[in-house]
Order: sequence, then structure tokens, then C-alpha cells
Amino acid sequence: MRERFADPDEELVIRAGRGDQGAVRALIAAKLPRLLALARRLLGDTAEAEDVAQETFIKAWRFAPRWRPGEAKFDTWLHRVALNLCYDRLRRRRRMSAEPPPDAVDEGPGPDRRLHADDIGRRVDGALAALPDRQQEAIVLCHYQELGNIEAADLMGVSVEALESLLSRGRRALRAALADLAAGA
Amino acid sequence: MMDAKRFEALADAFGADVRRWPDVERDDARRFIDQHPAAARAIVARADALDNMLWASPAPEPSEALRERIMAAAPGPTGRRPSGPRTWRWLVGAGVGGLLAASCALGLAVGVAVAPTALAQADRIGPADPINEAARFLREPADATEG
Repeated sequence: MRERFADPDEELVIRAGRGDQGAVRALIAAKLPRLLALARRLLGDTAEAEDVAQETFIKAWRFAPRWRPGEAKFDTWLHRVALNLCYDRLRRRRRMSAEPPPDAVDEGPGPDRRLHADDIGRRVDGALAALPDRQQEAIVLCHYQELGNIEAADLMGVSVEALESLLSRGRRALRAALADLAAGA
Repeated sequence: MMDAKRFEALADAFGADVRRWPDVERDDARRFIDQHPAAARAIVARADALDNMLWASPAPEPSEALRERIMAAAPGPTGRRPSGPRTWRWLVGAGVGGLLAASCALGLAVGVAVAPTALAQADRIGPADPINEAARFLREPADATEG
């Protein structure tokens, strides 16, 4: 028999499935920023990220009335749906073009250019987008989405050891790509 | 017992915050910090510098329009089903069904009207023939409901 785990979203999902508008609003407030950030960081494009977030919620609304507590955490389920939608888009994008994603431009600091917060953010986004896909996913799930290692490994379909290796290599590459920022900090 | 190499590997992978390290290694990591505070501080500081830099990547703020679109698709208080792709698929399906029914009726009418001539000219019916076109349409409706 499977162990029953606590899902902090359980009550909200059940109420949302019954049409409780307060619960619907609370779920949107809690989950939309997370899903949008996940999709934006993986796709590098805000409009596409909004589409993914919206599609994920539409699936969630359809799923909510049939929600079975204890089978999966709702947040993990949402991440799985959003990740799959991102993978679909990335696959389509790869088939169509070898171009880098539109917003993921790493311009570098330039000789006399002062780095402001926005510049640093863009540099980090560019460095993140330049990582191999699996390293990028591992860092987005563990660092930005703050998922536990078991949950992230499960979502990515890899072992915990493989996840640790992806994270190490990804962070090493980011440290190297952003070394000039660290030196100037 | 955890050594410096393993402590550094964990910091390199999971960052400076020990609370985000694997459950099974956290207690050992805390013991390492207690026993080797200077070494632990140096390793954690290096990981912390990268963590802070990564947080400079801005998280997008959901627009009000996006919130409203998602809200509009949610289940309603009286059990209203969410709108979205499935509703569209149903509408497209209903449209194709209607078209098929109309095509069948048209095909039957045309068949009744031209049957004697068509039968007589059966050997000469080509791909542009209206009955063949209708039959081809009837064979290929599924594409219209996908996507």
C-alpha cells in the first residue's frame, strides 16, 4: 500500500474542482507565477511561456473535479504538465530552426559597460539558455522552482545521482560564464 | 562521516543552503560544518556567490490579462465546465459532423438525380467527378478534428 503524503494544495484543488471561485483565485495566485517563471526560463520567450501557463491551468481545471488526494502532489503534477508542454515546444522549435530562443541573448559586458541589475539578469538568462537542455532543466527545477532532489529527478526521469551530476556540471558552466560578474561584485 | 570532498560536491550541485541538499545527507553535512567551520564557510561562500548571481535572473510577473484568461477557463460555481481546447474540439467536431451530414444528403440527392447517367458513364468517371470528390471528403474528415 502506498504511503499517504501531505499535499498542501489538496483542499484548494478539491474546492476549485467544485467551482469555488475563492479557491480558483488562490490557486492562480499561488501557482501562476511559478509556472510562468518555469516556462519563461526554459523557453526564453514570455509569450510562449504565457501560453504554456494558460494551457497548464486549463488542464488543471479539467482535472480538478476528478482529483484523487494522495496520488500525486498537485504542484508536482502541475510541473509535469508544464514541463511536457515546454518539451513539446522545444522539440517543435528544434525541428523548425537552429536559431537560439528570441529573448536569450548573452551580449557580454563590453569593455566599459556598467552592469546594472537588468544587465546582470540578462547575462544570467543568456548563460542559462546556453547550457545543455538537461543541465538547464535541472537548475531551473532545483534552484528556481525550489523542488527537492527526489521530486526534480522524478520529473526529469533520471536518478538522484544523475540529477546531482547535471546540477554540478550546469553550475560549473554558469560560474565560468559569469566569472567576470563575480569578479566585479 | 562526510569529508570535505563530498561537502564541496553537494554545495557545487545544490548551492549554499543546506536545507536544499538531499535529506539523507543533511545531518552529516551539519556535523561537517560543526567540525570544520572554516573549510565549510569557504565552500559555502563560493556556492552562495553563484546562488545570488542566479537570482538576478528576473521572474516574469503574470499579467492581469493572463490571470483573467485563466480565471475565465476555471470551473464555475454551478459546475460550468471549463472552456478551452476540448470545447473547441467539440465545436470543430460538431461542425465537421454537420458538414458530413450535409454532404451525405447532397451526395444522395446528386446520386438519385444523376445515377442513370453516371452508371452509364461509369468507365469514364475521373477524379474531378463530384461524387468521387464527395466520397474522398467522406474518407478524410478526421484530419479536420485534430490539432
